[in-house]
Amino acid sequence: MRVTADHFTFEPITVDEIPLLLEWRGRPHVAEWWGEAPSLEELRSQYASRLLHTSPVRPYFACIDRTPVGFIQSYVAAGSGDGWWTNVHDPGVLGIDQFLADASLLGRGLGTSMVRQFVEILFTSPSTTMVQADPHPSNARAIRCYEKAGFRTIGPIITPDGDALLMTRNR
Amino acid sequence: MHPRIRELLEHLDAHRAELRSAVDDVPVARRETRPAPGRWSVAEVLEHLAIIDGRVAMMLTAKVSAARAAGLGADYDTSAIVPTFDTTVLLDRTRVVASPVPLHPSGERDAAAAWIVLEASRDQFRAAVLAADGLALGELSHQHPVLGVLNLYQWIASVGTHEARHTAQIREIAAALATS
Repeated sequence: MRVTADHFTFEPITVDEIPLLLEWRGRPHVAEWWGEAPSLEELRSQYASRLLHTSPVRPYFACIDRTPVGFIQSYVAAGSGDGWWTNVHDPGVLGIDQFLADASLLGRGLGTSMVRQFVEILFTSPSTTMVQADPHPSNARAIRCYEKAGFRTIGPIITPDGDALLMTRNR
Repeated sequence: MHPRIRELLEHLDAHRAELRSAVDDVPVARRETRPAPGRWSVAEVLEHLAIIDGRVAMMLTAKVSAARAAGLGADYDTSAIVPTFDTTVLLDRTRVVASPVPLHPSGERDAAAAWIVLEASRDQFRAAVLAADGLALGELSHQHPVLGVLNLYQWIASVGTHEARHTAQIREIAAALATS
């Protein structure tokens, strides 16, 4: 068995691809949960350290046949700073965030496949103890996606971005 | 940040940048190709490095957690770490170093997936290092399979040096594939 994409490949996002990410962030089905799209400069600033690999957040395009169709990122929860995950001290805990770019692709199991495949890759690291996600409690589509990808609901939490539902998947 | 931790993170970052450059020099379509029977492909080298990062992160976390509970104090020594151990054994590619089987790659990942795992493992390793920032890691030691007993600072440095060995291996793979 090869742990790659039967469907997806995950390509690190480059500086040149920030405008595409910005355009996606402005789409209504993304903005509904990710908030109003920032300016290009704000997004560049936000992702500068991530793209220089000085931040423990790793953003990727999820691609089918090398065409980007979604966004997914992983992060180390411990030591995130800025009030995030202050109760997590295990460096093996990774978190993920994601969305599909095209609203017409929603509801077809594609997000579940993307998440499941990405998480399987993350778990091939021996030090990954758990993967977590924190969708908005009202984002039923995302919650269902994570459930179908093997996550279980831990409970409501308050993050620096507001209310969220903590969901985790163990090995 | 303690100067020794800063030194070690810079050491790790420098070697990681060299690794990325070496990988980029291998055509994408050939990163899963073994240069010869029984030799590792680029993807397998990356998988091996991810295993190392992950396992050292776990060892570091366990050792530091126990030592912290036992009252490990702060480190007031700021002298450099990297020059304190002999790296020639790791860097000498003419010397065969057989890694234990648990550190061998599965060969089940392509290079892109292996790189994602490597990045995640490195992030976890960095988090483990940062969680130990300021503690007297020189007082803690652990047996290294090749270098003997190292203190934990030296262990962190050894990860970067070990990576340099495999960066050289990837350049050898690139050269072999270019002539095949």
